Amino acid sequence: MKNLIIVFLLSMASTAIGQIKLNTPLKKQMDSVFVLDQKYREAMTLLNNPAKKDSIVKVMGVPSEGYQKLQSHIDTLNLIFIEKVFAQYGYPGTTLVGEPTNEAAWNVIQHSAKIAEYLPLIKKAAENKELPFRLYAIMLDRNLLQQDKEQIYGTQIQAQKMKNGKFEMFVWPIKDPETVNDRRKKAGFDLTVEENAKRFNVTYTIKKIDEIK
Amino acid sequence: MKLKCVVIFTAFLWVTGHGIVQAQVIDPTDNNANYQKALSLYQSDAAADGIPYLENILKNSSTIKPAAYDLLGNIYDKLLQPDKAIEAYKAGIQLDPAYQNLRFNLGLAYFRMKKYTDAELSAIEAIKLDPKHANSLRLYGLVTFHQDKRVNALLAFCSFLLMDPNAPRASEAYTNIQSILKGGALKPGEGLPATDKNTIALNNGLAAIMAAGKTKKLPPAELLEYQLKSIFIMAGQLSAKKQAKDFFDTYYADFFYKLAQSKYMHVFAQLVGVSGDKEASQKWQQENSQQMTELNAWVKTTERNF
Repeated sequence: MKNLIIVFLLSMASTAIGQIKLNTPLKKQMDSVFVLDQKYREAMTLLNNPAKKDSIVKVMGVPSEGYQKLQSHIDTLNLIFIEKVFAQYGYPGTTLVGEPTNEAAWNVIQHSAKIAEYLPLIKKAAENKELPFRLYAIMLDRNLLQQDKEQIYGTQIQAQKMKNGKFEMFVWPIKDPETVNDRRKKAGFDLTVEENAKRFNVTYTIKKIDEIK
Repeated sequence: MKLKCVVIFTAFLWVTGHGIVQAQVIDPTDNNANYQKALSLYQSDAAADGIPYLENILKNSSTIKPAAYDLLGNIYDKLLQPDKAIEAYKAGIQLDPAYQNLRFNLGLAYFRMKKYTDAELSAIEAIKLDPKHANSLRLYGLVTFHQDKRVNALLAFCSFLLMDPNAPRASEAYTNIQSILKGGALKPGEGLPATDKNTIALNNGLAAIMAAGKTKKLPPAELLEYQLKSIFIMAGQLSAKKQAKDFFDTYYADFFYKLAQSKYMHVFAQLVGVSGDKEASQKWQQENSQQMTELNAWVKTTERNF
């Protein structure tokens, strides 16, 4: 009886250990991809603030006009690598690389011109809980925006010249806007569409596609 | 006739605070008196003068020999003679391997000599002997940071704050944590680069978490909680994959993995967040005394192995 209990406990222990199926070498590579994906992005955002422009250039040691080119070069290389990973493993999600490394490939695709091509793969990963569903929702919205269609979850904020000739930042038109916050909640967003817009200093107003195109 | 025993009395002049010159004689066989004298000299500006008194003790058979070696090491350390300090600490450890302070001081001496690997081993032994010794936890953090073991150092400073959030060096630990989170590096020549694959995997994971944090656009307090929780989970998952775990895995990674999955992660992150400002930290702890009590109870009842 005592031996049986020991065997049972050992099998429980091996099950617990077996739940961690991380591919450590792949995780290390994907971690590097994530770091590179963000390497110049924060600086590019901060450069839009004239007060911080000089200090960013000084700290990073790159002239202000050079960041876009450098990041674009990195993005191209990251995409080549990610496509090889997709071919070998499928989407590198929570099971393979853990959190938040499972968001690395999503970021690379989100910053590429291949959103439409990989959206089904991202959707499948989200449905299988390999990736937070809200990230799929964000990519879906961006894909719809790129096609000049109404977004579903209200995640995309656009800055453009309006019909009246004025430059404006606004929440891209949303399909069924009256129920958007229910959809957002189900998808895993903590903030409402109004709260999210506020983070970008934008006041949410309902717009239609024909108002802006 | 053979002289069986010669008792030598050491006489010296002792100037008191009142300017009165007194003569004091110490029996070389009185171990406690010799120790007390050496200690008072160590605490004054005449540390070197304490050495003969400690040597008296070391000639005798005494249970306070390990303590004498400890003080002797401290005196040499104060005199900037680290080799002799290390020699003294090691001699003390040979006599009493469980003397925690000797292990801690040996680690500190190695750290000052920039012998970080040896310092880490001593810090580990010191922690094993007294897991509640906050300074040993801090020492482990410093020596691992100087070996570019950034996650080890981060968890050590977190452990230090968890153990004693009101310690005099709590704000320094907070600064160290922030420095690690912001990717701060040591000046050239002040540390060793990471070379082993486990450390590189942890450092890569840390960098990825920092990158992921940038994409979240979170307010500072939420960002800190996200970063700490993600790091604890990452370190815990990497530890869980290992067949042969080391001290860091069992003592730090596995413990903080449990914390990250508990309902106390939020309060811990808040505690770390305020620890840079002593007054703000104490105020926050008073205002959240119930949560702190629950967190401390969880720490006491959660298994933490070496």
